[in-house]
Parts: sequence; C-alpha cells; structure tokens
Amino acid sequence: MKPILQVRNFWVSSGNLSAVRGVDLDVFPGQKIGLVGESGAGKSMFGLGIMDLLPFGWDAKGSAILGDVDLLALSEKDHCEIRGRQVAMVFQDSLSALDPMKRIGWHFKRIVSRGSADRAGEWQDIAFEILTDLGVKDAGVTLRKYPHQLSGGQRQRILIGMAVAANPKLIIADEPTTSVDTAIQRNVLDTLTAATNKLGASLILITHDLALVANYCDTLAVMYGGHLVEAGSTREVLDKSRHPYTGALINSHISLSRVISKQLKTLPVIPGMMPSLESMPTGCAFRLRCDRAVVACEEIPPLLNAEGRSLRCWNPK
Amino acid sequence: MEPVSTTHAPLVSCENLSVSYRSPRTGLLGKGGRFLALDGVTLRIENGESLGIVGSSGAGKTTFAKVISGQLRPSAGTFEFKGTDPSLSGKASRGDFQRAVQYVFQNPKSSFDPRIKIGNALIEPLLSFNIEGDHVEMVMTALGTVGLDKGIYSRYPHELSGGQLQRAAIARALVVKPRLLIADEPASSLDVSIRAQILNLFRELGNSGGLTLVLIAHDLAAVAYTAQRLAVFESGRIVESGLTLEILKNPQSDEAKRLVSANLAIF
Amino acid sequence: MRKRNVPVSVWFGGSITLFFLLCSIFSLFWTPFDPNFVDTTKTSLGFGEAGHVLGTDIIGRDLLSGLLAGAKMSVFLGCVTATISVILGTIFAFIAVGISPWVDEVVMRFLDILMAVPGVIVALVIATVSGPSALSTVSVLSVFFAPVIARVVRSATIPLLNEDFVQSARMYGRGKAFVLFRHVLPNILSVLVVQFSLYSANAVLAESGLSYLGVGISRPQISWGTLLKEAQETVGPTTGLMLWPATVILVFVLGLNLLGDGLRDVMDPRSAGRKS
Repeated sequence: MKPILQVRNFWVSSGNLSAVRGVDLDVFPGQKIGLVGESGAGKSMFGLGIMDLLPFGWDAKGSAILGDVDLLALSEKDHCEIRGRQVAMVFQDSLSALDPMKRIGWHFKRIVSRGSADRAGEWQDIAFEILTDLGVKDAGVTLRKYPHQLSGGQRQRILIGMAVAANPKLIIADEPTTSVDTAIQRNVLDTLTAATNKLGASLILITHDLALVANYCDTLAVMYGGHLVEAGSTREVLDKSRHPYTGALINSHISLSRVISKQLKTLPVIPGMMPSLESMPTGCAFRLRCDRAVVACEEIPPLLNAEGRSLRCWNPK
Repeated sequence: MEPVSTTHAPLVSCENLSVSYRSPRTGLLGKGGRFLALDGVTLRIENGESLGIVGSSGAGKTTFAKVISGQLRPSAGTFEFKGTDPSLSGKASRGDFQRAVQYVFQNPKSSFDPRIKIGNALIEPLLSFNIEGDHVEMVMTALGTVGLDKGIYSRYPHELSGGQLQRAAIARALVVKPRLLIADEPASSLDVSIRAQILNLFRELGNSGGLTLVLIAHDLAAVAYTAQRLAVFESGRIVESGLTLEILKNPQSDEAKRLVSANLAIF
Repeated sequence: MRKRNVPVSVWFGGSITLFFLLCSIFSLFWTPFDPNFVDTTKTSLGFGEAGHVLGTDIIGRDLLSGLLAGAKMSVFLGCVTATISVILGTIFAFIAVGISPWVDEVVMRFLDILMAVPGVIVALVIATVSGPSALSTVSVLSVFFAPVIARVVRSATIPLLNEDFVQSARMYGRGKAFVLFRHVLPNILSVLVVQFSLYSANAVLAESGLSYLGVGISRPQISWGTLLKEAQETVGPTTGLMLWPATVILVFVLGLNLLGDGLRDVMDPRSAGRKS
C-alpha cells in the first residue's frame, strides 16, 4: 500500500532556531496517527509546516509528498488548492477558528462552494447532513447560530464538520480537545474518528494526552525537542516502549485503576524541563534529563526505521 | 453519604450555600434571568483533610472555591470558617480569615506581577498581614518546601517556567502558614511531566498534616491521586461526596458514573 | 526577553525632539539678540541682513531669537501640560475603575461632557476674564486633554484588574488604592509614556493655535503661536516671518508624534510582528 503522505527529513526553522528537526513519517490511507509531545516539542509546528501555515519567519525544509505532489515545492496558490480539499485541519481554539460575525451556515457555504462549484447550490443540504451525522441535534437551527452561542463541544464538532465537508484525504487535528471539558473529550474524539472513518481518510492527531492516542489511534509517534524520538503501533509502543522519554511519559500518566488499587505510591518525576529552542543541548535533546544517557548521546542519534518502528536513541531499553 | 464529623468542629462548614448571578437581558425588552451558580450546597471540611472537587465546567466548582476563600459572598445560606461567618466579623478577624485561607490560581503566569521579583512577591503577604519574624528566612523556607532553588528569590516571573511559577505560587500561599489551602486546577495548564511534580507536592502537603487542602480539578485521576475525600459537583449542587476510593470504585450518582467512564486509560 | 527592533520613528522622532530640547535649554543662556528688543532702525530685514540670521519683524525684533525663545516656551508648555493631563487622566481613570461600576459610569459620562465642550471657547472666556497667560493656557489644555487620556488609561487598567495577581493582592488584605498604585500603575507606565509624548505634541499645537488667536501667550512671553499672530497681523502669510514659526511647529510636532508612535510600537508587544 502506498502512503498518502510521505514525509522525509522534515525541518521547520527560523534562522538558527529549529522547532522540528528531521522528522520522517509515513501516513497510510485510513491510518490514525497520534503525534504526542509536550509544549515546545514541535508537534504543532509540524502540522502547520505540512499545511504551509507557518507563522511569519518560519520555513519548512525537507520533503513532504502528498500523493505525488511535493507540498514544499508548491506555490501559495497551489497550496490553497490543497488546503481544505485534500488536507484539512481542525484547530485547537474553536472560538478563534470561526468568524464571530458570521453564522455557522456561512462557514459551511464557503467551504462547500469552494469544494466544487456544482455543489455550491446544495450547500445547505450538505451542511445539514454533515452536522446530523456528527450528532448535532437540530442541525438546521445550529446553522443559523453564531459561534459564541454554541458550547465548546458543539463548536469543536462544527470544526470537524468543516474539515470533513470537502472530502479530504488527510485530516490534521491540532489539540482538538484541549479547550474542551474532559467529559466531552470522548465525545469529540468519537465524532472525529467516526467522520474520518466514513471518509476513508487518514488522521494525524496532535496532542499532549497519551490517553487519547491510546484509545483512538493505531499509531503513536512521540516528539521531544523537535525530534521524532519513537514511533510505531500504539499498542506495541505503549507496552514495550524503547525510548526513555516515552517510558517517562507513560509513567507520568495517572492511571485511575492504579490509584484505586492503591498501587500508585508516588508519581515518578522527570527532573528538569524541556529545553527551549534557544537553549537546546547539542546531541540528543533529552540527554540532560535521561537516566540512560551515555557519552554517545552528545551526538544526535539517527532516526532508525525498522519493522514499522522508528527510534532515535543510542541507548534504548 | 457524609462521614459523621468527629468531636471537634469542622474547619469549614457550608449550609445551603447559594450564589446567583443576574444574567444579561436578552434584547432591549427582554427580562434578565437569575443564574444559579451554586444551588444549596452543604458541605463540611474537617481539619487536616484533603478534599477533591470534581465536575464539568460550569458545575460550580470555582464559584464554591471563591465563596470559601472569601472572594465571593453567597446570596443565600451560611458559610462558617472555624465556627464564625467571616463576612460578619470585624476587620481584625477578617484579616485572620484571609491569612488562614490561601488560594492558588489556575494560571501561574498571571499569578505574579511581572514587575516584581519573586522574593518580593512572596514577602508581600507577610507585610500585608503584619507578620513578625525574619521575612527573608520565611520566604526561603517556603521556597525550599516547594522544591525551588533559593536563587529564584531574585528572579522575575518571566524568567521562570510554568511549573516553577506554580510552585512559587504555592510557596506564596504557604509562607503565611495558612490553615486551608485551596488550589483551583493547579496542574491543568502545565505539561504532563511537570504536572507530576505539582501533584506530588500537593500530595505531600496533604499528608504532612496541619494543612487542610481543597483541590479543584476536572481531571479525575489527578484529584484521585491527591485527595482522600471527593465532592462531585453538577449544576451548582453536590450530587455525591465521600471517600475518593469509595466513589471511584462504586459511583452512585449519574455524574460520578459519567466522570469515571469518561476517564481514558492507557492500558 | 527577546530584544525587539527599535523602529526608525523612535530614532528620527527622538532626534528631532532632542534637538528642540537642546535649543530651548540653549536659549536659556544665550540668544543672538534679545527677542523683545525693538529696533526701529532695522525693521523688516531679510535673510542674513545685518547679522540677523533669519531677519527681523516689522518693528525690528530678531526672528531667530524669537524662535529660540518660543522653543523654550513650547517645550515647557508641552511638557507641563502633558504631565498634568496624564496625571489628571490617570486619577480620573483610577477613580472610575477603582470604586464601583456606578462611579465608573458617572465619571465616564462626566468626562464625555467635558470632551463635548469646545476647548477654544472656554479658553477665550478664561482669557477674557483673567487675561491670557501661560497659566491659563496650561490649565485649559490640561482639563481638556485629561478625559481622553483617562479613557486610554482606563482601558489599559481594566484587563490588569482581571489578572490573578491583582486578585491575589486583594486577598491578602490590600486595599483597592494600594493595588492600583502598586500593581497597576507600574504595569501601565508604557501607556503613560506614550500618552505623554503624544499629548506634548497636541499641547504645542493647541497652544500655538490659542496664541495665534490671542488667547494664549502674549509678549513679553514669546511662543511660536505669538509669532504667527504677529506675522499675520503685520505682514501677511507669505513671508519668512510666518513661514518660519509654522515650519518649526510642524517639525517639532512631527518629531513628538513619531517618537510617541515609535515608543508605542516598542512597548506594546502586540503591535510588533512576533513569533508565536
């Protein structure tokens, strides 16, 4: 099976600073990848880099082939063709992703008309259908509302609907549940994965929450300090993580069941914090906090891909 | 549902607490309604216990925290701290109340005046409450308790990370030696690996005795890890309360069941 | 904290302002001639004649000395008016925000009324009653600038009051006034500095206008507006007597405005292009 997106040696930099340093990733049709990392790891910049939506002063390098189109070689005009049609993005802050002065229906109208001119006339039916599929009750009423009149969870579903409206092949969701209640999180993610499945599309879920990936993604990719440090099938990586940071991240997660069974005495702590872009250490980014660091770690370990697993570590477990 | 209180009086006693807000008018001719943020909350908090407050957003957790920390006056019902209603007492005992109840805010970055060094920010409450003693010494001790380097004293807030700032905020609350510490979502804006540090700190503080802890969180697991007792809020009411482990193993109310099932596990 | 690029306007505007500042200090010690010295033998001289670099007016007073003396007055008036306006404006804003929403409403509407009154008319009235002078000019201008500054200070203050560190200070017993002066004021200093420079410019412009109408400064005190008035009355608008004061006003006000705008760009993190 050919991947719909092939990313090789992807860098996102601004002058001397690099937020993403050499990421390799393959996205296959129907695959759901959870891109996990803490703030500053570069995961959001990766998503923005793929979409060419980087903030002023930041550029992407390397190769990102969508189908047979080199995304980095596209002009802005050509990229506009791709965005929203073949690749769609669901943003974190639903309130600022929507125009506060326009009704929900207006947002859909624009997207559907853009998708194809002949569908433009039926935008209302299409939007209605999408919203109903997403579980929005009274879709007709919702289409006439303004963004601020809806709850966070409803708005997130609108964003998902907008992403899905143009039948994209790839959906990139950047922290879609951060501004939403924990209780609604499941709801939003159920909606997102159902919509993705219906389209037969692929999903890149960017998040800091390992639990979300554990429950909704078949592939887990972990980022730290701009590097992709480990990737592979979710179950495999979680059960037998090899990179020390992945292990530490898994241990930081509070398991309710372990608390209940009183097995959790103290949460293990990773000393220090993720280095900022300006103070990134030479060699492996995690080196200074790692309890398995060796002399070799002063050189950046290569990203090795074997048997569906990727790993960037000199001294893995 | 509520464990029977012991022979001495509870630290905090809330009876039928209600807080209502006037909601804005709908249109020029519409009538504004009243919005009940808290609807008859009754709760006792004993000395030395650590209580967790959970519920979805809008359930009234923060409103409740504001009432028991003195930031908000209830529209109805009574709130007593150490047996007396702080809003009825004179200036002196109001000062005692403010000193005995300390608050840690959710967002560490806005908890500190960007123009004031951390050390000076921590001395402020000591000055304001006219507490005697070697202020610098007391601040250094507090910094040590939360695991911060003494050098933090002369740094500015923007030089500290989110985790460090939150710990400084906790230190500021501890420096006046309060009886009750209320923390509103103290770890939710922090990175996962830093969250562990903060939650461990709270767990220690709760276990050390002498300090009563009220922790508000929407993350059930975080609260479960740090609090012995739990109060589940929904639509301004407490729908379930009791020992944390009991509720987690056997949730009775719909809301508690919903919260438990919404929790996602890794394995 | 990353260093932001200091925009050109700060350097440019700053240099102009500095230049005039130096001129006014300079003129305290020495001017080519006594600006008020009437010399009927040397009237209406042109450029460079008889040692008068810019010529003389219709009764022989040196123009350059007049300009220098005027600079002194303008800089002085500009600074004093701006200072008083900013202080008054800040006090109004703090009173409005710090007491209660009701007081806020009352104060802001009062300021609205103040702004609706035409300043020139009031200046005329006061001038008629007490005679035109530096004091009357400064007072009138300050009172009319203060409401606008109050608005700006108020909108800078309100978001700060919602910050947790303000709530925190209140919770460990600090009064509202303490919080305003200890926590809010230092954090809005940049706003005040910008307002100060912009309103110095406005003050100079306004004063020139008032003096031109005869209700501001009058001889023996000299301001650029006074010079304009005299030029217009005696010779007409096409001579150097008119053009020099006008140009000088233009350049100084431009410099102050550039400086204010530039400072605002430097101090307000939102307006500078920033990496997220």
